[in-house]
Amino acid sequence: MRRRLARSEGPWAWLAAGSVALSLLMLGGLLLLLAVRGLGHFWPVSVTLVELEDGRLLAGQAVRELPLEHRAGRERLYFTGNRDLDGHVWHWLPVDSIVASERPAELVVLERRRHGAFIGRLVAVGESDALPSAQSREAAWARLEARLAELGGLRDEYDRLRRDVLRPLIRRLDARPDDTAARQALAEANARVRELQQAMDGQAALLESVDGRRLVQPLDEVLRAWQPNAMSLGEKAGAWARGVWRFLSEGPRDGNTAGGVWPAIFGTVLMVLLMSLLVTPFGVLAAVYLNEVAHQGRLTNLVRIAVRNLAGVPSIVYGVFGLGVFVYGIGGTLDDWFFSDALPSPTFGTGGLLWASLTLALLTLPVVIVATEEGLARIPVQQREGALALGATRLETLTRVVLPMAVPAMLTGVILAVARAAGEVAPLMLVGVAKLAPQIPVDGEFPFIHLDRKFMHLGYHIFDTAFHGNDVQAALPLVYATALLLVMVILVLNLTAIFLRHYFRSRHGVQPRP
Amino acid sequence: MRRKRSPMTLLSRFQPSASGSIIDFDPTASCFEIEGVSLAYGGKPALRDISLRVPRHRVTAFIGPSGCGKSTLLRLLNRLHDLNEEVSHSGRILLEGEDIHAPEVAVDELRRRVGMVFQVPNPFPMSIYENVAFGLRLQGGLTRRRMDDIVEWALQSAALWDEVKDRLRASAWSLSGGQQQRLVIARSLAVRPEVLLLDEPASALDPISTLKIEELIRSLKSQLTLILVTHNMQQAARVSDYTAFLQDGQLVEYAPTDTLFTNPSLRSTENYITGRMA
Amino acid sequence: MIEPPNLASAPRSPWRRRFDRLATGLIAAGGIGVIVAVMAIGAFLVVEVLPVLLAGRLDMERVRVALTPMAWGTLKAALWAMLFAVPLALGAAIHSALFMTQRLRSRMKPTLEMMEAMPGVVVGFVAGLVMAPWVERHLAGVLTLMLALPLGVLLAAGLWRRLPSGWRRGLSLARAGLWLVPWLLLLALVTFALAPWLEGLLFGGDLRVWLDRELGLDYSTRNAMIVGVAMGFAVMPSIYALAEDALSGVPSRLGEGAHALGATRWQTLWRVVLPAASPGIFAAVMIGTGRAVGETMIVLMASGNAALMSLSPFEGMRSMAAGIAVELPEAVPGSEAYVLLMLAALLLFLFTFLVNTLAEVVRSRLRRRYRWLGGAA
Repeated sequence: MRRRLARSEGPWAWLAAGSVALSLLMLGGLLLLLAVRGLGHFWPVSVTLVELEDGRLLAGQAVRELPLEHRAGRERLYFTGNRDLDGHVWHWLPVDSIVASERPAELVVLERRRHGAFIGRLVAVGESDALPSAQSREAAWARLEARLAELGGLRDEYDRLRRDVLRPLIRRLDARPDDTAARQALAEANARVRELQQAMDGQAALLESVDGRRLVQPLDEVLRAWQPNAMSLGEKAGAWARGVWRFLSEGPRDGNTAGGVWPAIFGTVLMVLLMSLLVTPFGVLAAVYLNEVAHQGRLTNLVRIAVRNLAGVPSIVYGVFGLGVFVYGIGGTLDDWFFSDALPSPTFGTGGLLWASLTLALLTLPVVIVATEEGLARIPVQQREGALALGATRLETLTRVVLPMAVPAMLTGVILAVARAAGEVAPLMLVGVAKLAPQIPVDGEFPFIHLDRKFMHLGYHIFDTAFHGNDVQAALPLVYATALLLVMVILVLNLTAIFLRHYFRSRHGVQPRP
Repeated sequence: MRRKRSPMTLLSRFQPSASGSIIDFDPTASCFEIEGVSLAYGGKPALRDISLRVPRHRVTAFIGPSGCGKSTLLRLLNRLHDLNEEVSHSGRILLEGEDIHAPEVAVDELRRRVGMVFQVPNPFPMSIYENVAFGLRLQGGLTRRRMDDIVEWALQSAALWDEVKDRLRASAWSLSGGQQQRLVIARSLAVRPEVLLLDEPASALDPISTLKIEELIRSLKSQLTLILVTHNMQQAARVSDYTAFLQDGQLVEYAPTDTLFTNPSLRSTENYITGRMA
Repeated sequence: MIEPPNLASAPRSPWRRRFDRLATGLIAAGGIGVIVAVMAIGAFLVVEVLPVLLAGRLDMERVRVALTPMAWGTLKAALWAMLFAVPLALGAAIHSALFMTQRLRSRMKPTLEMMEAMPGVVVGFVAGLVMAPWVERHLAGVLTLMLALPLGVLLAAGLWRRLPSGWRRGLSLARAGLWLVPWLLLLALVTFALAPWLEGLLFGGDLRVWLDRELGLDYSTRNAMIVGVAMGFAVMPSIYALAEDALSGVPSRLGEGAHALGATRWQTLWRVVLPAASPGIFAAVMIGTGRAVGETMIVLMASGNAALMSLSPFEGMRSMAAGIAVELPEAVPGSEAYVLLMLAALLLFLFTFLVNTLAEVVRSRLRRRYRWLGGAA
C-alpha cells in the first residue's frame, strides 16, 4: 500500500499538470489563430467559378464553411466583390446546391478605390471614349498592367505634391494671405495637379461579370489587378510579400476595410516614444529618491506599497484622471490663455497626443519605479562604500557607480512600461485617439510634432474596426493582421525585457567570489 | 575633555601618561588619537569608552573575537557610519590633531585622507584603469599624462602593475580575487591617503593571495599609516607593529605586537591568543 | 622603490559639496513630486465626487439605479473570470512549483508571462468576434468539453499507470504539462465530433432551445461565459506567477520533513506546503480579482454591454470600467452623468487599491515568515 502511494501521485497531481497543458494550449491556439488568419489574408486566393442548381453563375473566393442552421448539410461563404453590380459582396451558398465549380485562368480581381473589389473577366482596355468591344485576352491584360504601372507613378507624384507642396503653401497663405510668392507657387502647383489629373483620366476598362453583365471602369480608380488562378506559387508568394508590405506602409481605405495601418503604427510608436521620454526620468528620479535618499522607515515602506498598488489600479481609472485633469483641467486652461481665438473648438482642451502620452506615462510610472528600485536594491552595499571610501560625495557615488550599474534594471522597467503602454487601449478612448486621423501628427511644419493632434493607435484600430465598422466581415482579416502585429510588437518587447533581466542577473554573478 | 575611564581601560597598558617603556613611540608621532569613544547601534552599545593612539607609519592591528567591535571601530575612523542613521556615538577622534567630527570637516575629504579596503574585494564594474583613476577623477584637474603616471604608480605600489599592465582596459571583474583586492588597494593609494584602513582584507582570499597582501601591507608602511582588522592571529603577528585586543566592545590590551603575543599581561588576552594559536 | 607622484589636491571640495547638497535636495523634491503626482489620482476622484455628494445635489435613488447594474455586472464578470482562472492558475502553479524539473520550470515561467502580456484588446477581439459566435454554434460541444477535459486528464493518468516503465519514464509526470497538450487537443476533437450526437440524444437536437424551454435561460452571443474564459485567460498568468512564487518559496526543509515520513509529493503539498503558502495564494487571488474588476477592453468587447442583472452565464452584463469607457467621452463635465461616472471610477479605484493593499500586506507578512523559517523567499 505504501509503495503504491509513493509511486503514484493521485488524480489531483494530474489535474494540475492538465491545467498547465490547457494554458499552453490556449496560448498556442490564440497565437496560431492570429498568425494564420492575419498572414493568410495577404495570400492571393484562387477565384472559383461556381454554377448553381438554378443555373446562376457566381465567381468568388471561398472564405469558410459552416453546418447549416436547421437542416443537414453545409453552407459556404464566398467573397464575390462587385458591390456596384450586386449591392453586396458576400454570398452564402448551400454546398449541395453547387452543381459545378472550376477555376478558369482568365478571371481577374481588381482592387478599386470605390466599390471595393471586382471579380470577373477583362474584356478590353482603351481610351474611355473609344473603348473597343472586344480584344484578345493577352493584349487587354498587358495593356492593363502597363497602364496601372504608369498610374502608380503618377499617383505617387500627385501624393508627394499634395503633401510636400500644396498643404504647406495653403497653411502659409492662411497665416499671411498677402504672401504673393506663395500665391504664385500655389498657382503653379495647382496647374501641375491639373496636369496630373488629366494624365490619370482618360482610360477605362470594359469588364464583364461571370453572369454576363458589363461595366465600364475608369482606370484611375483601379489600384491593382491580378489573375489569381493564373499565378504560379512564386508569383503568389511575391504578391503576398507585397501585400504585407502595403499593409504596413499604407493608410486605411474604404472605412478601414482595406488598405494598411501605417498611420496607426506611426501613432502608436510616436505616443510610446513620447511616453518613454516622460516616464524614464521621472520614474528613475522617484526610485532613486525612495531607495537612496529618503530616510528608510515606516513611511518609505508605506509609499513603496502604495506605488506597487498603483500598478494594479485599472487603466481606465488613469484614463478618467487624464480626461479630468489633463484634458479638461490643464488643456482647458491652456485654451483659455493661449488659444482663445480658436474657441469654442478646443485646441488642447480635447484628447490628443500629449495628453495620451502623459496619461500612459502616469500609468506606467509604477512599473518603472518598481523595476528601477529592484535594480538599485540589488547593487551590493560594498560598491557604494567603496566609492565613498575614495572620497566620493553621495551624488558622485550615485552618478558614477550606482546608476550605471542600475541601467539594465531601468531599461527592463522602461521596456516593460512600453510593452504595457503599447497594448493599453481603455485610457486612450478617453484621452486622445481618433478613428481616422488623416494627418500624421508629425510634418514639416513648425513645431513639427503636433502634440495637440489626435492620432491613430493599433489597439484602438482593432477595437474600432471590429466593432464599429460597416462591414465587419470584410474588415476581419485586417483586424487579425493588426492584432498579430500588435501582439508581435509586445511579445518582442517583453522578450527583450526578460532577456535583459536575465543578462543583468547573470552578469552580477560573474564577479569572482573567492 | 577627559572622561572617566572604566576599570578595564585603566588596565590597558597604553595610557597617554604612561612612560615610553611599554609603548615605544613618542605621543607626538601618533596619527589617530581616539579618546573615550563609545558607540551604539540603535541603543545597543557596540563600543565602550575606547581610547588609544595609532602611531604614524606603522601597522596597527585590531584583533578580537567576532562581534567585539573591531570593524565598527575601524569604520568610525573614516565616518562610514554617517550613512547609518541608527548609529550614535560619543568621544573624540583626532586625525593629526583635528577632530574628524568637527562641523568644518568635509567628510569626503576625510575619506580621501583615510582610505579603506573591505573584506570582499569590491572593484567597480569598469576597466582596471578606470577603477584606479576613479578617485582621481573625483578630484579633477589632472592631465591625461599625469593620470597615467599616477595609475601606474598606484598599481606598482600595490604590486599589481606587472600582472595587468597589458590589459588595463580589461574589466576589473575579470581579475582573480587576490588581484581584485590588490586593485582595490591600488585604487585607494591613488588618491594619496594618509591612512589606509584594512577590514579583514585577506579573509576571502586563498593562502598565496593572502601572502601577497601581507607583503604589500608591510611594504606600504613607509608611505602611510595602516590599520588592520583581522581575526587571524598569525596575520596580526606577521604584519603588525602594534596590536590592540578588543573584547565586548572594550579595549582590553594594547601593546607592541611582540610583547602582546609573547607576554600578554592579562589572562583574557592570553586565553584568546593561545586558544586560537594552539 | 618607485617615487610617489605628488598629487596636488586642488581645493575644489566646497563646490562639490554644495553641488552634492543641491542635487540631493533636487532629487528629493523631484522624487516626492513624482510620488505625489502618482498618488494624486485618488485625490482627484475624491475632489470631483465628494463635494457634489456632500452638497446633496445628487439624488441617491438615481445613483442607486445607475450604479447598481454596473456594479453587478462588474462583480459578475469578475466572478466568472475567477471561476475559470483560479483553478487553472493554482493547478499550473502547483504543477510547476512542485513537479516540474528546474530546467522546464525556468522555461515555463516566461512562457506564461507572455500570456500576461497579451493586450486586452486582442483577447477581447478574439473572444467577442471569433469565439462568441463559434461557441454559440457549438454550445453543446463546448459545455461537454468542460467536463471532458478533466475526465480526459484523469483517463490519461489511469492509462499512464498501465504503461511499461520505459514509457512511463519518457512521459513522466514532471513533463506532463507538455505531453498532455496533444492529448487535450485529441480530446477536444473527439468531443466536437461526438457533440452533435450527444446533443440530439440528451437535448432533443438543440441545446439552446432546450435551455430556453426547460430552464428558461436566454442565450446571448456575448455572455458571461465568454467573458469568464477570456478574462480568465487574461488574469490567470498573474495569479499563476504570484502563487508559484509563494509555493516555491516554501522552505524546502518543511517538504523534506514530510517526504522523510513517507508522504507522497501530493500529500506533502496538501498537508504542509499549501498551508504554509496559503497567505501567498490568497494574495495572488486578491490581485487577480483586482485585475478582473478593472479590466476594460475584454468586458467591453465580449460582454454585449447590456445592463442586465442576472447570474446566468449565458447572458451579458455591463461593467463599470466598460461603462466609463463608453459614456465618459460624451458626458459634459459637471453634469450628473459625469459625476456618476466619476463616482464609478472612484469605486473602482478604492476597490482595487484596497484589494491590492491587503494582498501586499499579506505577502510581506508571508515573506517575513519564510525568512524566519530559513527559506529563500
